[in-house]
Amino acid sequence: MTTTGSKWLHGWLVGADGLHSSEDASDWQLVGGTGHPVHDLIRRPEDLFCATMFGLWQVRDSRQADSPQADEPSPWLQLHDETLTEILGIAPDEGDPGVVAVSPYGLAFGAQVDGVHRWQSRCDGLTLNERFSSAVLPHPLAPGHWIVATEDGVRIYSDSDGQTQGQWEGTDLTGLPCRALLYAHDRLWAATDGGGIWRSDDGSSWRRAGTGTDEESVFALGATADGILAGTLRGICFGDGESRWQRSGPSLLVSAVAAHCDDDRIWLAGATPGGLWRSEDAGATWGQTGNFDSVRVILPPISGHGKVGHD
Amino acid sequence: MTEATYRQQVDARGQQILQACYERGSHLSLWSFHAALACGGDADDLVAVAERYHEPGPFSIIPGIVLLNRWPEQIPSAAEHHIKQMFTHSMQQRGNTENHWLMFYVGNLLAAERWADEPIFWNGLPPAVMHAEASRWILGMIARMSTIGHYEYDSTGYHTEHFVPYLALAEYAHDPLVRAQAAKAAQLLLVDMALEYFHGAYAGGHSREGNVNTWTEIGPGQVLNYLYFGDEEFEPDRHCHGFAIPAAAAAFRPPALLARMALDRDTPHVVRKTKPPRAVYRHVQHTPGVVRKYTWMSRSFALGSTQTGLTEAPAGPIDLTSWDLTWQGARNRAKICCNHPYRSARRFSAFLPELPQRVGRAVGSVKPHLQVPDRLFGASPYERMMQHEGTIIVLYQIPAADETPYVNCFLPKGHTWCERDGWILCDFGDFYAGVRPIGSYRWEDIYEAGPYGNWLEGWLLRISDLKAGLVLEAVEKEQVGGFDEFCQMRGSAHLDLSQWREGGSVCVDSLNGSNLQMTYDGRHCVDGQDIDYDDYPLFGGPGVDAPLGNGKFRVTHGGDELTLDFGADQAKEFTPMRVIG
Repeated sequence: MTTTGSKWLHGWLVGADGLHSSEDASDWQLVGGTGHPVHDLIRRPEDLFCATMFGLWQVRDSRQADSPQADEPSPWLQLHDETLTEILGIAPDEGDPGVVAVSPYGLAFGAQVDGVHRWQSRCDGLTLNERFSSAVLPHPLAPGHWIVATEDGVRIYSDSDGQTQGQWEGTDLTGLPCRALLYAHDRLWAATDGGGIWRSDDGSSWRRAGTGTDEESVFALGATADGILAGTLRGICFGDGESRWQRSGPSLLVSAVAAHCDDDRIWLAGATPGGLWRSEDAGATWGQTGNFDSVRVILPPISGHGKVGHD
Repeated sequence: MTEATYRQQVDARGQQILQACYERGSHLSLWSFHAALACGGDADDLVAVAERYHEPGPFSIIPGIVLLNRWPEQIPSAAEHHIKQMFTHSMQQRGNTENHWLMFYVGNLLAAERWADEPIFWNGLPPAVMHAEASRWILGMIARMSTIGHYEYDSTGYHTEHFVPYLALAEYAHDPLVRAQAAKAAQLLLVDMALEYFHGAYAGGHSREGNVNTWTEIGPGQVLNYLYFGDEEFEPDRHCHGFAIPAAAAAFRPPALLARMALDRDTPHVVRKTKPPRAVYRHVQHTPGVVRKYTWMSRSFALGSTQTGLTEAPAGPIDLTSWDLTWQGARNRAKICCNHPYRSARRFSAFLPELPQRVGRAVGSVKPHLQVPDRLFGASPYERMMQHEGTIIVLYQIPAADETPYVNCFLPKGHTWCERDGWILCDFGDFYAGVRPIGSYRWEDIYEAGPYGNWLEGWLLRISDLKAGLVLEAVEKEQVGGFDEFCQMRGSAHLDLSQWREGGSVCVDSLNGSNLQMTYDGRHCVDGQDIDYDDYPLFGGPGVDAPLGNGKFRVTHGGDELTLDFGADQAKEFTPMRVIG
């Protein structure tokens, strides 16, 4: 079913074939977008940015609409144009449309032109592997800079004026694909395909995080209150980035991980394929939840929302 | 044949197609309901067709809106309501290939014109915004096609899915620029088709053909061939494919000279074409090169080859057919081709965004034929070739660690083959062909069951050699006399493989007296002169003047002329390529 006028925006959100929500990570409802593989999500107080295989969408919380529409399905508003597709990652940006996007065609910035959003790639001069980008983060220490996970490692883009081609610079994490980025515990974290998990204090200098995943393919990262969750080709790992990573759960390709922000014993892991898995005991035991095949992104509930505790 | 006569012929064939489609009961789809409306069927039957679930993707978006435009007075309002829902209340998918996006954007442009007064469309934006986006992309792709070549080129499976949307715009679009450019684009696609039309087959290399590349009669393009070129006996099984039914029902008629050009096989000739580089996403160091096609259109056979520009692993497009010899004959009985069935975990992810660890199984589960060891199609990054008229050299240098360290060569059954001096030779009646495998081979057979019986059936030469290859020559019977003479001449003509293992070079004399010399990743020479691939025009052939880059085409045949001027703005940047093909 499709949710209408509910609290979906504040609860658990899962991007799979379409967008799905749940209050308790157990009972899942379709928000919309069936047929669209959802790759990334950014939540704002009254809406959601949804990056999909076929474009970028703003999904509104219909509760915020005028009351006659409150029971209507949440509307999906197209934000992409004919140059932006197969979006693998998005990051919040100032202004309108409020996000930057990455795809196989690289990093792209949007702007309003004649009342609609138009997008421009900022990848002139890059090789194909430098262009193919899986994730993006705003640089936590340098406004106007973006950390980009590319097929050739982590690169940094500085946006001079928001309109024209800026500058790219490499980092010392180069030569292997980067699949995910995370800023947590005052550090940047990078998941690489074949090279394990790395961390950085400044985005430019990277060093291996923890031990035991040196040649691992890692596809997703998430944070608990005091640690890091990683989705790998052989299941979930967790650790603090210093000591040895601990393995948890079934051996499957984990493409999304998240922990509840009010109770970090509750973890969710999404697999490609393998569906959605939930642990209520910090990874000691796991069980499938919902009716998913492949899950590409999980957003935990915002603090104070989403059912906490054990049934 | 006058234009009027030709139009009458096309009218008659169009009605024949529609009538057969209707009588066979295959009109009950959005694509083919034209047949019912053209043949006195009950228009109300469309209501049930339209209210069935249609995935809101390109293959449903375009046929619905074309129906509404073609039969404005006949469509029941309930059916129109269901079709309109796709454009106002569904979550459309635009796919990821050029034909997907073309059908998606053309469908939405026509819908935005039809329902221009709707406050918002399915995507939350006003119809005018969708119209602007669609026209930008469509005009941008036409500009690309008319100056640097058609991207998803010469596809036996998908050419119709390109042609029909442009035809629909030419017929029904209100926007005068879109309408005019689309009309030219539709004609350009027919020129493209006519240049390599061969007895109902589409000769030469193909960007996408898939596991039917041992067939001569393939896909919905056969309907376009029959409709516009005639040339064949009408066969409802082959000439009623739904994807082409909108063309049979349309008013559009190309100039007769295209049909005459397609059917003029009196004089053997070379067709040369240029196509844009393939869009590889990742895993390679260099952007692929421009695609060059060379096809020798002889009276009794056609031999076509491709400089694919894809010479770096793991870039191996799944559907590409790089070369073949084709002649008039039944399925699996009139093709010779070979292929290195390149497999790599990253072969699919070079063109798709999915995770490399996953995409092979995901794609292969749906299309298992893409992974079979006997595969005869799909590009190999280790394949190189050169051709001069009816002679081709195909060479492979396969790394020792490759998963499939061999080459598959398909020879059709139903013919009597003989061997002499290392050549495998056959008398095909009007012409002869000889194949000289390079490397140790074993004669096997190949069979794949399919929905229509023998999907694939023939002989398979498994050339198990990292430096495999072959030389093939086809000649018309009257060129050499009897088959014994051909065998003797071919066996004794100069062939030098002595430099292949160490120097990567192969040299052969053709029976028409030309000398071909090819070095793997090196020079391609005919009679000592380098082949200048950079000199290839957009289209080159008898009566065709179509240089690269200026968007101007002149086609002449007899005393007739077709000119197409796309008004190319060479200072303007192309629409970014965001699709695969």
